Amino acid sequence: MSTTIPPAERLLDLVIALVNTPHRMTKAQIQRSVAGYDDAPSVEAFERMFERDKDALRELGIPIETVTDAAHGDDVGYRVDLDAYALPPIELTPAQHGVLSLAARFWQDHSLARDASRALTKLSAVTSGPGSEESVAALAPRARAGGDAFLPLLDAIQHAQAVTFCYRAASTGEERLRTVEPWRLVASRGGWYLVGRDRDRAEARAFRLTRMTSAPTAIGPSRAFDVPAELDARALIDTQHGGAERIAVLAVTPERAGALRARAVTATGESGADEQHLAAIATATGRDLLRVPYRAATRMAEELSGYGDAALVLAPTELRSAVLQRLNAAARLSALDGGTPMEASDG
Amino acid sequence: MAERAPDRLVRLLGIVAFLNRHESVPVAELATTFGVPARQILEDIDTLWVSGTPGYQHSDLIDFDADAHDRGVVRLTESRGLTRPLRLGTREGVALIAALRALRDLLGSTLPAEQAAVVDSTLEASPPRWATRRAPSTSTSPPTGAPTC
Repeated sequence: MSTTIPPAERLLDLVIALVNTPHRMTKAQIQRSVAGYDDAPSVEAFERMFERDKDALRELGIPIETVTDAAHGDDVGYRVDLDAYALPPIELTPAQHGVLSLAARFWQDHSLARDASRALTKLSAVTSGPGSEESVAALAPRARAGGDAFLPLLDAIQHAQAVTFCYRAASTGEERLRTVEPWRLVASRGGWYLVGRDRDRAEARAFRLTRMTSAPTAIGPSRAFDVPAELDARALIDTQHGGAERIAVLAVTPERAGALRARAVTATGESGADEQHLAAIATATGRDLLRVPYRAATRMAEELSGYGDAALVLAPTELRSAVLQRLNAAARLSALDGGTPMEASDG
Repeated sequence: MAERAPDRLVRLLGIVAFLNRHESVPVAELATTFGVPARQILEDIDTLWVSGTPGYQHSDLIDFDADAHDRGVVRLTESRGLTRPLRLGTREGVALIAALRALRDLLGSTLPAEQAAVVDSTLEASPPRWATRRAPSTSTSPPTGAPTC
């Protein structure tokens, strides 16, 4: 009884045979001459084996080309052109190799772990020497990948294709369908965020992956949008999901906005010239000066715009403009409702 | 868990490509580079040594310097055309790049400048040149009717 050739060795022999064939090899030639195929018990068994191996190689980035030959009619031949699937000439330093090893381990049990580890193996072939992880190992992150949402989002980012998913808003707890042009996945403070353009809101948003309540589904064509060149994803996440605590200085109409008043804090430290100036503004307009702490500017702006002109933002400037933008947008919308359509759709 | 055949194949091809660029490499260094035990490298070399083009006579096979091998050093003398390092597949590239970005984002400002520079240079050296360019996706089927929450 002949010893069976392990699949890895059969695949290797197939690649070597198809790389070195002067023109092409037919299935019959492969079955007859390539080690590992000759012990297939039947033609059908060989066919299954060969198809499976072709798929495996394609998945590894080594597509087997089909070569038809006019002289042989329907007779199909195969070959592999490794040069066409070779890495461009690069050489990675040991330190870079170390970083890549660390990155590959990032996925752990995730379905991308195998892809990452194979990528690393491929790139190991072009390092100048074994990598040292020491330069970054102490800081090895072990962020949990973002569950089932991760892979579809990566694919969609790769293809610049829009996605839809159900999302539970942090501010209201309300679940809604969102349509987003995905730009980038960002790990921040132990969680993953999708940063992209929310089509319905027509602005850049950050979505926490753990708040997605359905798996993202790609919709529409590929290459549907461009990612902005200047994108500060971290700032966006901090603004919308909370970074360091900041204080909103508000001038509030007496006896209004009780929820804000309940959260207000007293001024700490010495009151500088700015403070006195702000207090003077509030007094001059007959309003109360409130200091309300917040973390996520977007959520705070949403809340404040709900009070309309009962709550004016004196500082900080970013929060002030965020509220004004919302109020202006609302004003334009109500103008549209009552007036003539600004953009007539051609019918 | 037994290693899957495709994963092993990628390493076998990687080892040959690596050895093509390096004259003589100790087994231990290959083991570190490819992140497997030295025993596995020796098994891989044994496999490569008996692989080749149909016919499988001595001149058809991948060959190594036997004297060097006895000293625990690997020197490739015949590669049978497997000289080129393989490009990354789309998913492979994406997986690695996303992890690199995450590394940089997570570590961010806590990284000493020197280490941050290494991560940045790795990211810059990377995509999209590493990965296979793939034809525009035609696979994703458009959902019929928008899902509701």
